[in-house]
Amino acid sequence: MGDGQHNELTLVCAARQGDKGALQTLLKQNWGWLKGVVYSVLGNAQDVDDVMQEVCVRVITKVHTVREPERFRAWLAILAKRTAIQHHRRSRPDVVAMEEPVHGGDPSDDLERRELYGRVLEAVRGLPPKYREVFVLAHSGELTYAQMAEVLNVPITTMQIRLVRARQMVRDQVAGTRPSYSEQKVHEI
Amino acid sequence: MSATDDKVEVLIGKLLDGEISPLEQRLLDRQLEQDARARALLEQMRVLHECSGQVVAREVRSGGADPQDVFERAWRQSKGSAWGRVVCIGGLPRFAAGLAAGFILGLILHFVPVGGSKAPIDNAGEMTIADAGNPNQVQPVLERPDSPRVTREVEWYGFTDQAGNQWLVEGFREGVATPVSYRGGL
Repeated sequence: MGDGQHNELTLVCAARQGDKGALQTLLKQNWGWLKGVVYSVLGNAQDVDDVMQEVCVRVITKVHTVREPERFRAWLAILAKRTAIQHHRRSRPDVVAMEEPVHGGDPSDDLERRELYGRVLEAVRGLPPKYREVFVLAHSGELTYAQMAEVLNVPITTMQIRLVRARQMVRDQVAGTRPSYSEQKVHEI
Repeated sequence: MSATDDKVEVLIGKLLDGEISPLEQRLLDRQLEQDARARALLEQMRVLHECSGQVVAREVRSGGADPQDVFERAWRQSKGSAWGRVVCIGGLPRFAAGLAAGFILGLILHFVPVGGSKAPIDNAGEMTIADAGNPNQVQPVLERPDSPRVTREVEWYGFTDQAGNQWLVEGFREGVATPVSYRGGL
């Protein structure tokens, strides 16, 4: 067990006892990928902050129910996913505004680059949630493959296959060789 | 796409994610040396990987509320109103609370005597039964004991006759407590 994991275990145990500081540190450490999970369910960045606030409230009120501190990340991911799904059902947006990348000093300044950026964004949003989730987690650059598998609660090989499929879908969509994948049936892995 | 293409794609993905092992790296290098399509795929995936990283960073990680502020707001919200939490319970906890309340109410109703009803012994003085020998004469079967010294007990016996029939026999026993006096020296 690594130092980081041991540290997280200690924090989880303290958080279960109601230690506010420990809980705050835990959430801060996992904030990036947790937002990625919420984003994957919602499919847009508009309501992510609202859902994250809801997730925080739930974590604070339910952290004492964590039975396996070593599986805290998986617990957190499930809680975030459920919260996001409930929020998504309550307020299902019909149209999501496409946000343009920031200009100036950004590598995406170049016209071709910006076009590619837009197409990738559209492709990511069009992915089925299961594939969008793994794609976002992989590109958030915060988790290893093993940690991603833990968060997704699947074997590592399943996670790798999903990631390859997600990348293929994005690549095909960007190249314009396939219609939006949200309208397609994708085999369950 | 063939199985080999899939394998190359997996290896390139691992390379880009920094998850490739030395053995896999050697395999990929060999494939890249031999296959021009694999090199083209690597270049294509490298550009997409970089772009995807930017998209995810912009969409998810950058911007948005500060985690510290969100946590503080959530903390205040969760610790705010205890009564609100009680009222807002739902789902399984609500069902369990209802069940418990019903159980407690049932227990109370079971043990608290309902108004207007009397214990059987209180009605005993009014009980009458017709005597088969003399239908005109009605005699009380149970008389209220005049003396508080009279004690009554009902006992139940199980009995199986020779034919194997089972009987439940009710035995009624009445006893009278006789006062005694102690005479010293006896």
